[in-house]
Amino acid sequence: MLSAMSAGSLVEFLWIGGPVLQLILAGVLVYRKGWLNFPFFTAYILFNLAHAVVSLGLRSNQTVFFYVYWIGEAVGIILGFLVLYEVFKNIFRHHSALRKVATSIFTISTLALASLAVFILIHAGPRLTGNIGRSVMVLEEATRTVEVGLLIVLFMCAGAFGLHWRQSVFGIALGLGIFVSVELIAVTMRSQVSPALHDAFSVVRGFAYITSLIVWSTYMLLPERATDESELPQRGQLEQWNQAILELIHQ
Amino acid sequence: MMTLIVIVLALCAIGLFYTAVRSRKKRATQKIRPFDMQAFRAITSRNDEVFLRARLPHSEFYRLKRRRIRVTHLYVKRMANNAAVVMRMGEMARTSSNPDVVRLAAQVSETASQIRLQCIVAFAKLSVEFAVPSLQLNPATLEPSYQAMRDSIARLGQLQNTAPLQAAI
Repeated sequence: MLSAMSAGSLVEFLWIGGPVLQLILAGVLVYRKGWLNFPFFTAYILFNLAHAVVSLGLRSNQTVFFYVYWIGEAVGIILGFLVLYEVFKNIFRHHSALRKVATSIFTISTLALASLAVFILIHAGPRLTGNIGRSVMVLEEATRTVEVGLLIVLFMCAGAFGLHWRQSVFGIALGLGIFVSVELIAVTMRSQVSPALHDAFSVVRGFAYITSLIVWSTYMLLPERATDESELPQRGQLEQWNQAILELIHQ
Repeated sequence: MMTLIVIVLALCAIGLFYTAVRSRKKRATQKIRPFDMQAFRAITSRNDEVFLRARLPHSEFYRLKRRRIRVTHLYVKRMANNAAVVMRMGEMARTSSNPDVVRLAAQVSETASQIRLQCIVAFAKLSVEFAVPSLQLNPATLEPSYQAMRDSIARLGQLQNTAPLQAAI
């Protein structure tokens, strides 16, 4: 009983704490003119803030709350994919050759992950009938799987290609990654455990989102380090390396 | 089973994010390390390989070739790391207020990313030759990807008017 009450008050705290942090992040984005470089991310944050406030106000009306909450979640997931695309575009913006390879890898990965999502839906077939709540959870599990998979591909490509992430871009990807990964675990486990534990998953999910908000705000505020011209190597030196590696490939 | 796959995927993602944070911190302090071009050319010389193949018994040649590949791998790794450092420097220099620096940074960064891509191709080639030392991957095997890369560099050269880069390939 006591633990149930604690979980309940924690959920309450997270319901209020989340929008407060979102408001702070929205302030940071406005201060940094974030919408110029990251229009989708700005839209994602502002939408989530509006969604949280509206959901908070509608909690007394269960039916309306249910639809507002899940429609909001669906829009949030779509915006999450757009944020992912924005991050991808940003990190490969200045590397045309790498972008071509990365685009091919991403296309193949998206197809593979979409197949996995379809497989999840087919596998969950019996759970999809009759209960709208469960159906929504399964759909969320499938889409979050694609989102997490694409984030893995993004981080792996960036690592393999030795790409430099700007502070803000890295922060956006990291924050999104933390949230969607924990969300995927929570949404998958939720259907496997007894309803008594559902509050615990809401708490974990809430904490993951708050962590992401802190990560986003911190990385947005961190200054970018600049390099001066003298630190850059001579172009001739790079062309020598280029020549040597081509000889190795070509012989 | 499906649940387990999904949970493992999510946990792998969290592990990857943790690794990315750590390697990003490490990369931020990395500097360009010296690269001995003459030694690299000597170790990758096919003439030496032909000579050794003719003189040594098969088993001895394979053992020696694998050792050469291991050393070559270290060289390519260093070149790939250097290219990544240059890309990072180039990216950071793009924020400069001096347009000349921004232009130079863009050129250098693009060349570095070409090198990084070629290093990945070289790693693949070395791995195959390490597994099957009797193989000698020739340009014909790598031609399609190489040609595609060459075309993209040529197009880039036309856009940026960088004749030396085209000449290099």
